[in-house]
Amino acid sequence: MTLPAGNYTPQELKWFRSVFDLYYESIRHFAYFKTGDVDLADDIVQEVFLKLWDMRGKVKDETVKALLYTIAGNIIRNHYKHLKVVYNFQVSQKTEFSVGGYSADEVVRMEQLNRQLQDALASIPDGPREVFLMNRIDGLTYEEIAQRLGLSVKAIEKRMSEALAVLRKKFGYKI
Amino acid sequence: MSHERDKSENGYGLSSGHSGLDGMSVPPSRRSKDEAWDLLLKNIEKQQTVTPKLVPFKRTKMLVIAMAASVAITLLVAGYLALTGAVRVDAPLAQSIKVSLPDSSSIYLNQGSWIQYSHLYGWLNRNLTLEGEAYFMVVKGRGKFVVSDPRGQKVEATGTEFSVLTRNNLFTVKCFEGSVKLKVSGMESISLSKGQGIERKGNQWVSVGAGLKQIAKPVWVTKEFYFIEQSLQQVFEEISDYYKISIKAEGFNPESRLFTGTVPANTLTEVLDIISLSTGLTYSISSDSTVCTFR
Repeated sequence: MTLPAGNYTPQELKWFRSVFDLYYESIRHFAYFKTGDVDLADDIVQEVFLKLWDMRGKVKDETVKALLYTIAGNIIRNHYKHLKVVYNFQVSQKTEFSVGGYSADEVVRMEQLNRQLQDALASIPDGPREVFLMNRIDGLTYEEIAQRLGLSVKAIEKRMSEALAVLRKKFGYKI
Repeated sequence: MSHERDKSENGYGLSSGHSGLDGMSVPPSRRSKDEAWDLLLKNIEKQQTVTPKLVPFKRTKMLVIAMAASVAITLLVAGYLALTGAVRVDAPLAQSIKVSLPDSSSIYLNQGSWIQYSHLYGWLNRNLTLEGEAYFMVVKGRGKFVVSDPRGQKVEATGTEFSVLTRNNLFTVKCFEGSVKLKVSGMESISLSKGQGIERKGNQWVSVGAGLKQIAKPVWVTKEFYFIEQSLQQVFEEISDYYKISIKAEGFNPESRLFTGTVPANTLTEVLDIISLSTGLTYSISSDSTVCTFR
């Protein structure tokens, strides 16, 4: 599908598609980290890219990544700030069964632990939590997170420390 | 793997064992990436289609046009009225009338006189034109009140009571309350305060009505003659002027006899009877009713 002819150039549409392909997943994850709602995250992604399309004439390639995160953050902050976050991360089969030979009790215990972990994640303050999840779920480095959120690496480190402190307090040991 | 990643794994062990986050991932979307792209394009297309209808600029433009049109129409109507529309009031012969102006000021207009003012009187100014004789009671606090005559002689006031007589070469102004300013082209402007009167004689101002403080408003305003120690000559002149009849004295000098009293300006006979009774004089009126003689 493509857009009907309008006030845009084919180059603009091509550029827009490339940006979408490159950042669709990461923005969707970021929205999920902040809201804990899959459908809402999908809607936010749509809104973020719609806004990017509107301002396509003024966007520079070197700043588009940070811009996308900023737009997403603003949308969430302005419209969903009172959202109660409840995570439901998927736990891969590999983690649970790859080693093999787990007893039924162990499976139940792992599920309980995962549930507790996801609840604990939801209890971390917004800023530290999104940094923590971007690092641990998306595998982004501190530098990459800093670039996307427009913060310094020091700030990211500080937020990580805060997130870990909350988790340590919850679980009472190094999880 | 990055340095930070290594650090987190080694430092806090969050990815080790069953309790780590390694096995966790964000739940998949209900739509594929391509479906999301298609939806995005649909939303963009929808936005482009809808946008022209919702452009606030259009509404604003319409509003501005409507407001501009209203202002233009108002200005046209006001301009038309200001340029062409005027109210003229004429007092018929032998009758004085009272005129109420839009700003609540009042005018007593003596017989045979007229005033004219614009439809915009009271909005933009308080200017009016007078020919004849009028007594003005001007409301305060509404700006300058200007009376001019067709010969360009002007009287300015802000809130006061004064009379103006302007007819042919006559131009007389008397101030009864407050103050007024007279402006005549080629002459020095002059101010009058309560009790003062002035008359133009050529290019000179001549004071009139000495002792105006003791003289009440004009008879044609109050419908009363009010005399305080005035000579019978002056009394006869005022009555003569008011009723347009000639009054003569026989067998006495009217300058030497003074008269004090209030006489209702009803019929001529009533006024003459009162004068006659109070002075002990007798009078007769000629058969053509043009001359009255006191003896």
